[in-house]
Amino acid sequence: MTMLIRWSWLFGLTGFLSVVASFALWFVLGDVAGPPRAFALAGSILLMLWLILDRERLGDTVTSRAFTYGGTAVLMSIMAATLSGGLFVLARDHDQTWDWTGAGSFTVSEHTKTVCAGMDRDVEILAFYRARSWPEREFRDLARAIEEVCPRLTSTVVDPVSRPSLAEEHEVRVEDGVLVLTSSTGQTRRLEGRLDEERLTDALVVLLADKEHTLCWTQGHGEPSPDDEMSERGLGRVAFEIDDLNYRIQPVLTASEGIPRTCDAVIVASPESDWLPAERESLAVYIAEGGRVLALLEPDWAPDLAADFGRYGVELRGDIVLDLNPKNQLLGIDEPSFVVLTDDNLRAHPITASLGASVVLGVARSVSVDVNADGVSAREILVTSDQAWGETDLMGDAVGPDPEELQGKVPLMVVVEVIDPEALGVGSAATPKPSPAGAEAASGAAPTTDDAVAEAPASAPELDLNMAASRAVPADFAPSPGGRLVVIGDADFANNRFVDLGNNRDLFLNAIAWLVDEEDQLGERPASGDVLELTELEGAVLVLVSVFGMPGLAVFGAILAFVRRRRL
Amino acid sequence: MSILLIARRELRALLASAVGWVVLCGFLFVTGTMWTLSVFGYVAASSDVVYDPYAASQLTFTAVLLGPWFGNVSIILVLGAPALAMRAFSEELQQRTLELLLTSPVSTLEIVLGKYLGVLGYAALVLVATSYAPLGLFIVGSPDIGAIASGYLGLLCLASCVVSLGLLFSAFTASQLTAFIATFSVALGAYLVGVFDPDPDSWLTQLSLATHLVDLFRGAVRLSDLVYFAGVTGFCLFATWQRLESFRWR
Repeated sequence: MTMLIRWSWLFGLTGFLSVVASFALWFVLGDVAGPPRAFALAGSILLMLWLILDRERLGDTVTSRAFTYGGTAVLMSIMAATLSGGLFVLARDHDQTWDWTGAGSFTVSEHTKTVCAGMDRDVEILAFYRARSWPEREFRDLARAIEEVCPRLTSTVVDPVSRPSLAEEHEVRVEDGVLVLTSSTGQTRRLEGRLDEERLTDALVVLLADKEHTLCWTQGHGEPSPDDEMSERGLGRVAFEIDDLNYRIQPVLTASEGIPRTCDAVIVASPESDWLPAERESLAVYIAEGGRVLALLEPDWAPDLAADFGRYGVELRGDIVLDLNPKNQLLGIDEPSFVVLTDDNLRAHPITASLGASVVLGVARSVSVDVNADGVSAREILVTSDQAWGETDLMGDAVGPDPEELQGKVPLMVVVEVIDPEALGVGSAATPKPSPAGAEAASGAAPTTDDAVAEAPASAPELDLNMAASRAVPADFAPSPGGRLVVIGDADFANNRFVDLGNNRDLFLNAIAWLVDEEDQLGERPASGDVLELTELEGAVLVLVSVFGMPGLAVFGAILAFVRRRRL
Repeated sequence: MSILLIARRELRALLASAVGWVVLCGFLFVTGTMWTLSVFGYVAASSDVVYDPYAASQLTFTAVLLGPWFGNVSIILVLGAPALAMRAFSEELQQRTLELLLTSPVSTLEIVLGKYLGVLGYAALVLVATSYAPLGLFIVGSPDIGAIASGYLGLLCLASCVVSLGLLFSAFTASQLTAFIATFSVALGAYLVGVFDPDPDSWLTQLSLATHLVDLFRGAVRLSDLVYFAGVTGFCLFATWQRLESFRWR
């Protein structure tokens, strides 16, 4: 018996190992029946045997001071761990997120809120994600945030592996990242690949829109192509943004096609050479019939077209706007022709109402309105500071405000609404006489790129272009009020180089949204990326400071500390 | 008051020790080199995405430069913080001054909290010394100050956890090296444990230090993450307190 008691710890050890093996087998086999149960039973019996045989020594241990205090400490530590775990679970179930980012990356954007507020039907999202994956978690976080501001939006996450029939029904071929949006009226829209708030909101806009808008992109006068994402002057990046919405871009050769009535809006983007009278008349017919036009007109280019806007009460001068107010200049660029417009420079209008950041214009011309123009209601919505002027003498030595130049708060963007289309003078035998300012622009300021083309209409009156203009008016011409026009004296702000600066992209998209009556789409969209460029000197300074400077300072501090210590 | 006195004493001891300066120099050199490489990588990426609208929109200082850099710094911190904490009690045990400390008119809890604050304060100093890097971005761009603050909050939370873990292990052994290796191993294990489970909601992933840093490094401060770090720190400090109390009744 003494021998048995002496070696009883073997029962304890074997019993403990059996119980551990039981749990391990249970974990591996997934079922407690069979070997796990047998090991558990054997382990329990062996442990019982050990407890009975070695009871005296165990009793002494249990009643010892070390065991009592140690056990209490261990027990309290376990309780502390349990408390910490419990608090964590509680916090996770009632989680709160504080968005510290300045751009509000974890907060629903104003644009999304506007779209949600305008939802007139319910939308359900079926999100196909692998269960318990990081993309699924990210979607759930995004959906939860958006659903808080979109009461008519609901989402359901579906694992395509566990529900293959539903995945098959929606033609889901990949495991992650397919969203199927279905409205209560039966329209569906599908999203694949990358997912962020902007893309989801754009999909909602398209789904909720009753129609797809056709945006006619005029061509044939050196306008940048909407497909050009490569060159700095190209407008491909902003066109890419348009493609994600319920817009379809249709290139239009105005010289041969005129302006089709099917266009929901026309974009006249930075024509280099001038429009022929027939083309200008075609544009006027389109506007007089209730059409909508966005015109981005660079200084000096297409002077006759610029002058023709006089019939809508818009005056495009042959100048370049310079603003000396430091607040309206790009930091680090000593170039007053780059005009930065902030809150103070925006006049109240749906297009500008939601622009929180700045708008950066490249070299821009002034665009003002004639408030007394017949048949239209025109407003200036973007103006410079009062330290600006429109410089007309670009070749002169002394650049500065002259009496004949526009000074003070120089307007750069105007909106026009046509009230009486008859007043536009469409259908008359000749095109209206260009405004004096336009004429001055046409004759005074020499075109910078294509002089021959720009001057062609003025130098060849014998071509009877007025007759051609009258031919642009269709037989069934039906004037109708409601035409809208947005004119900006700059196209650079929307080009591939500038479009991501400040609110440039929002200004362009808001202008289009206002033109086609998509009020829900007006808003400030989530911020876009940051581009970083370093000069060689800046790169060298970076290496010097980061790799050598700061560690070197620490080494110097260490030497000082040890020298001081040794002296003590 | 006693807590602050102990903390100040601990901070001064670290500033006078070789370990403190080696950690500071090494930390600044490694993080500085990483920062330089990250910035050059970002500049290269900026030129690559100029005509790719989607990639350009995704290229932000917070997501592509600061977040990954904070991630790298956190790994270095997992290595550096144990070196700062390893001497806290191990040295007292080795020099047999712990008895003296325990018989002084301060409670054990005050000793633990004082040492914790002292070591954490030094870790915070080390982190502040690295702030020149993200703040320097303001010279060439407009980084998100909120995201930077959130990233540093995440690093401070991580430092708090690792330091408290270091105090716990240093209370168990008189060997500083043993305390360092044990702290580093457990902290690294706790940091990486989530890698082995793709399920973001599994207990293994939720146990991971790295999981709770992801959102902080992106500028989002979640209550659950803060409670997690507070819980781990609190538990380690409590266990350290219990361990030191055991010297009284032995």
